[in-house]
Amino acid sequence: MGITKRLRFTVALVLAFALLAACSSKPPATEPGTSSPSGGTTTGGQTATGEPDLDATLRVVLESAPPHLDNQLTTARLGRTVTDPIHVFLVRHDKDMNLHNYLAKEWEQVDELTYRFTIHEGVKFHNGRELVADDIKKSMERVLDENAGSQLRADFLDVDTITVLGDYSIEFKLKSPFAPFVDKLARLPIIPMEVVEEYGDMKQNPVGAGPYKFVEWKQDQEIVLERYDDFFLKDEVARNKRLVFRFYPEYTSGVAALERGDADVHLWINVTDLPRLEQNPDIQLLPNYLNNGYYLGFNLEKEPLDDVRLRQAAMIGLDREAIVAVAYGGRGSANMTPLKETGPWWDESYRPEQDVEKAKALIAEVGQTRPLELLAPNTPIEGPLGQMVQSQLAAIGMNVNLQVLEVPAYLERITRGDFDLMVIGHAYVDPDDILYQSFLTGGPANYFGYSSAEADELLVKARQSGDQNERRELYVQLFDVLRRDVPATYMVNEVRTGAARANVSGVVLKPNNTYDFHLAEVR
Amino acid sequence: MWRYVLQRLLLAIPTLLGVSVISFAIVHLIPGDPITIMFGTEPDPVAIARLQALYGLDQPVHVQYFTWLKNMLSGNMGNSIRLNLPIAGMIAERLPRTLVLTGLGALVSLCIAVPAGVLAAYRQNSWLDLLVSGASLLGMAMPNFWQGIMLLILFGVVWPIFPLGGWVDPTVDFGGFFMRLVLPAITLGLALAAVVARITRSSMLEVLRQEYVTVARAKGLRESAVVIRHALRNALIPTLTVVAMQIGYLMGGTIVIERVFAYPGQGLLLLSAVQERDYPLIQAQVLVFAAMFVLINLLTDLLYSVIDPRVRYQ
Repeated sequence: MGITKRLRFTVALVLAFALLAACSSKPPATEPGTSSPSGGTTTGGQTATGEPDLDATLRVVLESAPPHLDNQLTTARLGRTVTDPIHVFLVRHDKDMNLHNYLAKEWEQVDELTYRFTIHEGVKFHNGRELVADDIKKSMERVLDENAGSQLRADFLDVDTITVLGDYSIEFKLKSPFAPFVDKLARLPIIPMEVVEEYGDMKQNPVGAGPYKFVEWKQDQEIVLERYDDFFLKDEVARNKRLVFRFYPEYTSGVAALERGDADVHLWINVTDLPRLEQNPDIQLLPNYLNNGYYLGFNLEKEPLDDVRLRQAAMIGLDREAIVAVAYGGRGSANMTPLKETGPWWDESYRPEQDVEKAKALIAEVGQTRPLELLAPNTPIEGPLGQMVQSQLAAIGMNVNLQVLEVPAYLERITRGDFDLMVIGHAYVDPDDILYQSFLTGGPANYFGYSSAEADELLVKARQSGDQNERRELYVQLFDVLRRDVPATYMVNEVRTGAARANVSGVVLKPNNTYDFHLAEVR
Repeated sequence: MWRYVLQRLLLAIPTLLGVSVISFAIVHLIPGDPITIMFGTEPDPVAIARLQALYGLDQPVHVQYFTWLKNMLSGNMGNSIRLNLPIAGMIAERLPRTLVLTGLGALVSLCIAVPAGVLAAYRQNSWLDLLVSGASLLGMAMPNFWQGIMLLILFGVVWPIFPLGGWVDPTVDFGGFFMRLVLPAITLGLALAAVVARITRSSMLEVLRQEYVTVARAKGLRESAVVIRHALRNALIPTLTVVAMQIGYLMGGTIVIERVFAYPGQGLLLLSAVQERDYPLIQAQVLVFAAMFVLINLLTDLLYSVIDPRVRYQ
């Protein structure tokens, strides 16, 4: 008798949950954001109707606060997302990564080594002082100061002299030709040094001349920025009164906030949630075809991977299409390089090649090896990617153990060279950003211990050449060398998907993982 | 009794010192350091070395420990490496929030578990007993963060009754403050309730079988008086011990709950400090957690004498 009663109770409980689940599903229909073939996205206007609310607060979900708010010290995604809107830069990229003047009114390359910039007059920092050329000089000098600890320093090591030619004109002279120099300036925030002199840094109190000014940082809760009414580009004064970044350390809570309408924009949706959100008429998805590449790296300084045959076997043994389908939910493209098919650097030779039989033969040739250790950081993408790589390598006869590590532990091991195989992704504006650091002999991100005079020469030539076509050709040659030596093998370019409420338009997602919020309208 | 309290407090000193040594060692043994993490996948060896020297991280671990200890003893918790903010201020801001959450969680669990445990014992082997035993088994088996996410989805998204989490200043908006506490407190409380209900039930069962309960009934006392005044009071001692032990764990549990509900308390601060390897911030917080644990245990011991007058401290 007791059993029948319990059974009835269980059935009732199951039915109740089923009913709940049914209540939570929603009718289909959605309008995606407008994505351009070369990558970036702007939230769509089609679904946003009515007048924009100029007093609106744009609420953006982030998984956690950035470590600090000093934009000059960091290149990390979270830090840049929050603090880029506070600052101006000499130049900037649009959603297709085309370069435009920003603080610079005009600029010219005087000779191979010299760049001269004229800036807008009457630009005011948020503290009321006028921004002049000397501020640009001091901003660059701070980044180059070893004691400041700026991650940008490596980008500007080629700067030789900085000359202020007047209040609104400045000249940079380089030690050697450096093609991506002006692109890199889109990363140098111009700051009033008196703030740094007063507080020691800008970790808590960033001041710039950008479209938003910093209001407050409630630790582990939110960071509030407010429209800067005196922004120098009058037609680009922020279209929303407040820009608030809210922190949801638990991913599910952040997505729930967007679905409920507690937040307007979410910058990174897991692929598993996309089918559901696609059905929600109140949400628009924002696919962003990133300039990035995920690669499998090899430790060339340890046996048995010092044998190039094993590395080549791994390179041609991987099924990159399957990796895209499973680890990226189909949102990405299989590629042997980080240079995506729709971008200006693409070459047909970058298409993935797979030859399982040849891979198996190469492995058989080398013979039995010790089990290899594959390291992956425990991020939503690299974790599953590591699993895919492990199983595919096993299929061609490579005995690989996967270790998914917390990010700091992962970083420590790869920088120490304590690994056999590793997976990671990196993003760029100019290919030089990642290739020079990763494949130059002794480069700071050359975890592989790779050294090739041929590759070094191509890398240096490619960064020095001012001719885009020549650079493209040099990278084709470089990847020929890299496919022969295989210090690492690229697998995927990612399409990362954000989401916004349907009534939001004008948020710009760029392929280098940065965003523009100031023209966003909430209706 | 004051002598006893003083003795216990003095005994806490070596305990806390031990905790500080062990946590310092563990924190420095796990891979990664705050400066390397700042630079991520683009390490700049020159700048990293400079900054490590600046923060004294290039010193041997024991030297770093004694420097830290000296500063602590002179009342200086130092600054967070990551945020460049004074740690004492950060803890002063966060600790009360976590204490409120833990307290409310404990209250929720007692309100559910004690009546449930008493009823289950009183009606042993009835459907009510089965329900309580089953529910508490389920409660113990379900991971806490999962319960939290389920509550959040149910009462935050499907039926949007409560806010999705966060925190507001109670002096500004008490209603909002309270509403934001409900789901995290229930989640925290449910985990504890499962354990407390089982303990209360079993100790109640034992007490109800004792002769003095029979005597009380024979005296003609009302059943409610027998159960609540005579039986429950004795049965509560083991419950109290468990609750006190669990409150310590509950404070640890807030790390998970605060994360799910984006509740900016001590747990979330500790979590981000660990993720960023912010050594001085981790160290100070572990010590504060340990001190809270010691204090709660002392308070529990003192509470015994209130509940059971036979217990006396000399």
